[in-house]
Amino acid sequence: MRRLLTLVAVIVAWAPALAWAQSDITGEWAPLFHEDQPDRVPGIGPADFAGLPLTDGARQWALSWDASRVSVLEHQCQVHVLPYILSGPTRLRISAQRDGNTERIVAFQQYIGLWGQERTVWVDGRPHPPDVAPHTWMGFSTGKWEGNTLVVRTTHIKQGWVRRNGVPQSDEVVTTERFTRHGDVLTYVIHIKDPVYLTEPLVRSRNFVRMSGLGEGNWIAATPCEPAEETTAPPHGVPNYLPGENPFVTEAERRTGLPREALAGGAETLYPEYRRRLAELRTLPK
Amino acid sequence: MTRTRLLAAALFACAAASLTAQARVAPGRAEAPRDITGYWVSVVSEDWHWRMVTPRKGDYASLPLNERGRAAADAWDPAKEKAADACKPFGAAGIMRVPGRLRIGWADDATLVIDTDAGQQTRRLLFGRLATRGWRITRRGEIEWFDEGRDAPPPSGPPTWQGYSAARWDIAPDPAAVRNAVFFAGGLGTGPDGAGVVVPGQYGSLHVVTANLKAGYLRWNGVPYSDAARMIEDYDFRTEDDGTEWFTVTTIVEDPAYLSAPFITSTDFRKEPDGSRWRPTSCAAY
Repeated sequence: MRRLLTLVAVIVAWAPALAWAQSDITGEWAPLFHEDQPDRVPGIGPADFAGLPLTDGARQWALSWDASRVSVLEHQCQVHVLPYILSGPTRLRISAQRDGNTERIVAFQQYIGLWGQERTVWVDGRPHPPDVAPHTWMGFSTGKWEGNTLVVRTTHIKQGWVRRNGVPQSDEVVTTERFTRHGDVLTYVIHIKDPVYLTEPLVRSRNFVRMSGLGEGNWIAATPCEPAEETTAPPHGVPNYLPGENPFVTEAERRTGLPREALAGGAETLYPEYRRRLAELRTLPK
Repeated sequence: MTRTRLLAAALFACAAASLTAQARVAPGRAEAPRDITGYWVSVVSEDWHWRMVTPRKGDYASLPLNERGRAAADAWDPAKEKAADACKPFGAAGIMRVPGRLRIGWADDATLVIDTDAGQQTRRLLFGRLATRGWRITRRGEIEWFDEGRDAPPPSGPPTWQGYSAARWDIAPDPAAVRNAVFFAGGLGTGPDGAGVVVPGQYGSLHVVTANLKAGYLRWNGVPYSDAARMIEDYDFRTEDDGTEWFTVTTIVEDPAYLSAPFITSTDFRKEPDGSRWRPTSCAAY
């Protein structure tokens, strides 16, 4: 009878265990650039903010930005912040971190090849730190599963950018990322909520494909950064354009064939009806 | 003793039945994990320059075209387009990237209908015609994918803009099943009590396979897909913290005629409160 009871207990416990709600997202993933390739690989040209729900302040910031800024000593080693980095030309390695005693997963580690960034996504239920805690490039992340999707909330991100042509992201930004695996494709969706520089959340979705795990040579080696004087400009100056003086505004119009209003971005440029507005703008005399 | 064996056999049968129940792929409306009907708007925060305006001829950056595909795109001449070509950008392989609105509803218990205002197209997703697929834990305690049954072949007939689409729900098991799976397999990201951070509720992807397509365009500027193209989509629905409802559709287009590799994109839609912005527009007038 005891044997029978044991058998019953095992089967009762086993029966619902035959299904599995979470997919295995660990492993090595390579990015696909079938979307937003100009923005993500070569970098989109200056003064082009179409498709971004910018505030006026963000637009002014971006128009004052001079690409030479990245050569300034203090800026040389800035990396892509979390809201942007997984859009960049980077490979992604995800591994599980287990509690040594319980063997339960307490976090997912992500190694991001671009600038050798590492981040931890805690899935053990811990809270986010208080607002005054230090901000970092990758921020502080916690995760939970919604079915087969790992949902990650990140706070405490340093100020950075959401587009590589100077469009800013504030240190009040909060992101929600979703990692969903469909076979050998990992779909990555990020909602970027920035009360300072965005009038509504900026949503991006990207795809990664699974690597074999054997491609050691495919990884970019760690890229430590050591700042050095690279120009003859006076030290500690910050290249910038004063309001109305950015020469690339006109250049962007010529390069893209788009009117200045569209290039200025704003939430209205994200929606289908803006096509009609574009048609009106393109028929207006210059 | 015999009674014990009989009982054990019955319990194993129950376990097997549970496996079937947990892994069963749902047939349509009755098993939909959430109400996805209503109006949805595409939020064009990606590929803006290729989706909101017609790109220059020969701009096929980021598309994995083969030599034939590039030659066909280079040969595109809008002046030579006939009236019958007007819907080429609105075929199934391109329509989800067109800025516009969708109206999703059920025609019957096994047919999901997606209408588009842009191009006035109708996609019919037919349930019950695809093999079942998902996760399970084997009797040896190992996690494995299963892929059972066979897909019903597309019906014969002339190709159409929207082709023939077979659909299924890939539904994540409920959290109770996960809790028990944790007991056996260590769990992926559950809390210290084995339950804490698995969000209750039902989640899952809508998986769609489309074939029998009439040749069309992947991009407004004549970048082609052929009538040999096949499309695989996974729709992932979600609710953001602010209460807005979204879905992202991950689309894989395979085309042996014009693509050297699968073309993979992910496109974002947000639910609208009603159909007040629904603007049916013909292919030619869009």
